[in-house]
Amino acid sequence: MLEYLLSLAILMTIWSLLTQSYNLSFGLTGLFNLGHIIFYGMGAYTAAILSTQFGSPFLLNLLLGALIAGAFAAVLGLLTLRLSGHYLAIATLGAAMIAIVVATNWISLTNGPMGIRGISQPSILGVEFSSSWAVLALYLVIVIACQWVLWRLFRSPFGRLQRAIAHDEIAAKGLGKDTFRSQVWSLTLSAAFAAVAGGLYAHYRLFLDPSIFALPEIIFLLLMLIVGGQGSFSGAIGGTVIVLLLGEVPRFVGFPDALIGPARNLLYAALLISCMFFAPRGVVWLFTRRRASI
Amino acid sequence: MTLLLVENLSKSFGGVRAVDGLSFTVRPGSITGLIGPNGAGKTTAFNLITHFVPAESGQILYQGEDLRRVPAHRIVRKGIARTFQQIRLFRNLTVRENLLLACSHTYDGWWSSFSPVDEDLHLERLTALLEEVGLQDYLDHSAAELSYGQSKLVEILRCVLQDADLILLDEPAAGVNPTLLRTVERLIRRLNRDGKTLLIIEHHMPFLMRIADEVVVMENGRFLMQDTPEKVQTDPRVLEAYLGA
Repeated sequence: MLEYLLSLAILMTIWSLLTQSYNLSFGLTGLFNLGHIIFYGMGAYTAAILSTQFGSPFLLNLLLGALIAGAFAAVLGLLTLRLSGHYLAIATLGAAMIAIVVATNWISLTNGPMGIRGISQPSILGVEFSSSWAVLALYLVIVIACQWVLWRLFRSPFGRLQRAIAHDEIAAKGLGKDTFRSQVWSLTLSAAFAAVAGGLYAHYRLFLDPSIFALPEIIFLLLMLIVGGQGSFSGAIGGTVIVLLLGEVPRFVGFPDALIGPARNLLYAALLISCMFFAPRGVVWLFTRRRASI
Repeated sequence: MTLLLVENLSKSFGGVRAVDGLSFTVRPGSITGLIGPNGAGKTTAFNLITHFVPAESGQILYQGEDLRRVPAHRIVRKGIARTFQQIRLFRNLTVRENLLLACSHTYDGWWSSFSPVDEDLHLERLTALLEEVGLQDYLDHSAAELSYGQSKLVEILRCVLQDADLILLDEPAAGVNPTLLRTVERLIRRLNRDGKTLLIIEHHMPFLMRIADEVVVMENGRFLMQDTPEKVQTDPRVLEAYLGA
């Protein structure tokens, strides 16, 4: 039971970072990007490949994953951010589909559907974090540090500009703001943090396959943000915790194993509909009741 | 001497010729009105000058520099600020945040999140401006809480804070009650005294004729005349096209 709870806590820690990174580009800047999972997967694959093929250290894997995903996001942003709304969503969703195909078929790099095994456990300066307690402690430190950086971004004039762009890009341009550049930066930073979350995931699971890019993952991410509150810093964390905990409920109410998946989906649907009716700005807003809750 | 020269400017939307060979000038330090019936192309002219809509042909010279290749966000940095016909405040931000966005572009990059940001430098100026228009109590209110007239004022203040030499105001008096209208007028006159040049689209004729030094008249996307308010008000072409007999 303890091991299960620790595993849940570690996943929550990783997903809180992934959701917050998505909150930066989607929640704060208003980019309807459905390809965010690409950056998570890129971070995970970078860590897995570097770890298994070059034996490179854990922190370097995270850093390189962030750099590669950030660079890729910058290029993707330059190509797609002239689009907006549904067009951007379709273009980025298409990019996510391509990522699955690449991860499945570039066998020499990713080992295809067989996946990558033997990813090293996290270690820093020769100290291995092999127990779940140790991994949780390490991941908490890393994720809190990343969340602090994101918090600074949210609270800064940069964050204020992103909120302005999300509300009215034309008005922001009218104030002399280079909205395109700001959006590209938002996507780039958002991708870099998603990649760190992906790297943490790979080094925790120790196995990786193309399912990390699957469409349900992005739906899951959207659900967390909508439940917590799009654009709200605390909402992204709250939404992650609520959705992941709710997903575990069917395990404890005696559902047969075969029904746990469908029951979970029903609960998520009920949660989403409830939020639309009772907390359209997110559950965290119900407690803070402040505009632009941070 | 000319601050802004618009020459032979044209723009079509589909089959509609919104602006058709428009030419006029704006003298430095003047208040110039831009009038015409609805659909005359006044707002399109603003959008062409500020490059929110690209011109098909013609010239826009500001202080001698052609603006047609300057992107919209760079126009502000050249010294031209504008308001919009429909109020475009950021309703998800406070009045303070709306105004701070206009103050400086120094902190727009993400790296500013990790360097000391001393926005208090701007606060004194913000407070003084809000006091000037009677909105000092609204500094930390959400922009969504402002009335229509108050929103117009804050939008004009955002222009003021951009330190532009030329301010384009699109219908600053529309939908504003008489008390706030006096405030708008006082503010415009004060800005003009401080050396700012204003180009104002307006349908409120008594207001515009009081404050304008010159008036440009448009009809069906074309230039009709440019002269003093007195002459414009008595010109038969303007009377027929716009003001009524």
